[in-house]
Amino acid sequence: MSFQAAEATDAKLHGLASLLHSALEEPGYRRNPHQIYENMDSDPLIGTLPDSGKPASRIELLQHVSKQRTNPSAIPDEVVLFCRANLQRGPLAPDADTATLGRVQSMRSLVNAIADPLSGLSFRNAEALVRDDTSGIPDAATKLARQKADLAGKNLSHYQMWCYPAADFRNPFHEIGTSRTDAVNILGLGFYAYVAPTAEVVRWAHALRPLGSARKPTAWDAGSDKGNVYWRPGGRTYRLDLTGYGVPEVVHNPIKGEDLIAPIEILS
Amino acid sequence: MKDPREMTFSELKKWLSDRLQMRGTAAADINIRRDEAPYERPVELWKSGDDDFCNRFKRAVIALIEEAAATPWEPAHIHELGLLVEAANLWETVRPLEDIAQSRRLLVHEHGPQLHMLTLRTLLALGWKGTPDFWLAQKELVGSRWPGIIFEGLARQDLQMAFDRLPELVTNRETMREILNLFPGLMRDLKIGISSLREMCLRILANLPPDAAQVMQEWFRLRNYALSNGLKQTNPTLVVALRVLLRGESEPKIFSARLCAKLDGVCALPTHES
Repeated sequence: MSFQAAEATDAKLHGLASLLHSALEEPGYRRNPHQIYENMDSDPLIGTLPDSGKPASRIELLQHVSKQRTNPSAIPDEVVLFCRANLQRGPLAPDADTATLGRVQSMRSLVNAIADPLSGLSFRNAEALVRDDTSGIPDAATKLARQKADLAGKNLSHYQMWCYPAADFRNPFHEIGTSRTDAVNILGLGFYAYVAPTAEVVRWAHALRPLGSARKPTAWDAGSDKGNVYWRPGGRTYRLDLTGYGVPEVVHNPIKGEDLIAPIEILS
Repeated sequence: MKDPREMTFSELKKWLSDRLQMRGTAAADINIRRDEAPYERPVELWKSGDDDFCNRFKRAVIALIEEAAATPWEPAHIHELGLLVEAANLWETVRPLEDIAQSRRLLVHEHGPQLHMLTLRTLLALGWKGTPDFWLAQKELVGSRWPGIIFEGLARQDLQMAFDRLPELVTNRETMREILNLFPGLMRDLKIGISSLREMCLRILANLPPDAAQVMQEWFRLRNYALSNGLKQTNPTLVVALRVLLRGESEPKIFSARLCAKLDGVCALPTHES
């Protein structure tokens, strides 16, 4: 079930697990500089050898990076590219299609998504639109109605969305607290806690459309991008403030403005 | 990967090109999980770079604009290039962008109108104004799908003129929505309030297709502003507030004899004693 076991099945891959272990080191993460390697090495959703219908296997990653055996500094980039090619391959998350899903992301990425290539909105105009729809509206129902109307047809993120199925659809933010700090800690969003602590962050809740599906994330979904050392396999977020897990998490394709259930709000 | 700040002009241009088109290792550090856009890191480098780097960066971006127009990039990639230009506020790119827009050369390619629209959008984002004739000429090129671009361009010349042209630009709910989504940006850039917009919308409301008019009315309704032809000149909220405030008062409660006095010191207003 590990990279060592995968390596042992093919003599040509000898020594690659060790190279990968070194290449994915993040010395700045004091809890465990080899966290990303260990995530990929221990994720129970990932197998050693290829298996039809399952996420890509560990041996496939070793084969992918083997072309960089003589140039180990290129291995981290190859791992990123491998992960990107293997998104949303985990098992379907049961009941996610009927769940209310909570989402936290940066304001900037929201605006980037709204100023999409099919829109006449520049970044500045998209930002003005989002701020108009999120600020100074005390009534949540009006805020939601405005956002659903103004953002209809617009994706709210560029890439796949990471979300948590809310335990209570009537109170979808109950489990992530009321502040930016709470949400970031509980969802394990280390980038916003340590790298960009002042970045504006928003939250909302949405539902998937009929036939929409969400999947349990694998270590390939989490990838090896900088800041992803805070992720752990197992289908739950990993808290930043405590040694323990937060809430269940799923990944799915971007949703659109009309899919909102609770309005976009800026977390402070 | 070499630090982009240490790259030569050619290397930097290739890195930017690959990154904005999400190709290879140049795009490997884009963080998908936090939804990072390809243009963000280059803009950070630009903002913190020294003069030498900034000069190379500007030249590389200008060269990419010309390249992207000659053998057109995909719309999504031109879009990223446009966002980079906007975020870095590279005014030096106006000349090549204007040249592309004036020549209309993108229109002959696949996705031509969209590529042309993205060029116009980037010019507007840089604060370029054009002329009324220029914007009116864009109507037949991109107006049916992106009327907001033309409306915004005209609004840069004269807001009243833009509203006068609005009924020609709007054909249905979608095109109306496209223009309404520009209103918050217009209010910010032109420093006008929603009441001013409302007045201008009221003047043209009857000339809009019914479904577009309905969307416009809904936009104002969701902002607690009624938009109907019976209330052209007065804000009903203000009228109600004044009535409540002034109810039953036929004369001022307090007045100063000094402020109301004639030159001879005698009060000009009738007093309770007189």
